[in-house]
Amino acid sequence: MTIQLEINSSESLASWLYESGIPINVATDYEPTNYFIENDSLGSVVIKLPIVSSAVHEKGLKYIYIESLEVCRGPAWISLLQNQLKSFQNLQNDWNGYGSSAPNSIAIRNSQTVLDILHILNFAPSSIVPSAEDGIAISFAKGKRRAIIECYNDGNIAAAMYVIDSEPLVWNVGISEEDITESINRIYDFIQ
Amino acid sequence: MISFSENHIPREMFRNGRPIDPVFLPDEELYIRFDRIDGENVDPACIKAPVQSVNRSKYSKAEWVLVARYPQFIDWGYGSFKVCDIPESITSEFGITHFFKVEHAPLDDNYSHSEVRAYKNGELVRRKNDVIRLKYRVILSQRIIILKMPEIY
Repeated sequence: MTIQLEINSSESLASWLYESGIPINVATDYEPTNYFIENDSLGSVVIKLPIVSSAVHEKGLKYIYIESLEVCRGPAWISLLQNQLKSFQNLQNDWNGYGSSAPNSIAIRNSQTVLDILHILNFAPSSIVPSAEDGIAISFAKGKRRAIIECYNDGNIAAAMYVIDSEPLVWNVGISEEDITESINRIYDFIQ
Repeated sequence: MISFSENHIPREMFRNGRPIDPVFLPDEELYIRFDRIDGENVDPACIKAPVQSVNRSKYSKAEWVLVARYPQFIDWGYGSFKVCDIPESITSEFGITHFFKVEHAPLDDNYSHSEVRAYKNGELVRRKNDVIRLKYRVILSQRIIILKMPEIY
């Protein structure tokens, strides 16, 4: 499948790529008409595209065609995050020297549920990391807006969303799939 | 790159029989290490809700937070916040209030070691409250000044 992407400026391209949630490297040293897609060592898909300069744009370049984007778009970030999630099984207790417990099977299972829902919504988080608070943190970022879902080892899940340099809104998510979906939708509306 | 040689904890770090010093001035700096940042701030996931260990600047250099279990954390970042940056209290949606303060808790090999602790009704909080803790961590993460970026991220 080919998706046609209209390029108005390098900014719009970068913005579109950012919003697509694809872990991406944008290269600046390629000819404007060249681009390619490759798998990096972590299994994520890296799309390399030129930044379209205004000079090039004035010469008539208006579209870049991204082939197979639909195929690689979802699996790109989800496979990367799932691999990261799996890697947390190898973490040792007190991994940060501050006495934090490694994520346990409950936190990993709940985080997997969060990722599954995010995958369905094609809503890519910015990171998934072990939390110093004994669990796993799944974070979202766009501009100055931030959100975080934390799945704790005791089975609880909490979420926060905030604009940088302001007080966060924090709530208990609940543990059912419906509860998690509701909180993700809330975060989606806030972040988008 | 900061380098500490193996088995070379700075001598000034050892307690050597020194007493607990309970006095913290509001502008005393507290040091913390972390392995991730989020833009210009420390990732809240790196911060442990009370009890959070810190080194106090009265008895520690900032980089000494990387010495623990050398060389495990040598490529982590570190930063500082002031005593007055600690949220005085946070109240949950159900009206439960936790009060926060830093207390000196020296270790044999780290005299500066201190802990940010949470109190409720004058007693140390034992039962965790996810909402209060997460709110505390997000607020504090935005007040930490990054002194050294982590090299592992």
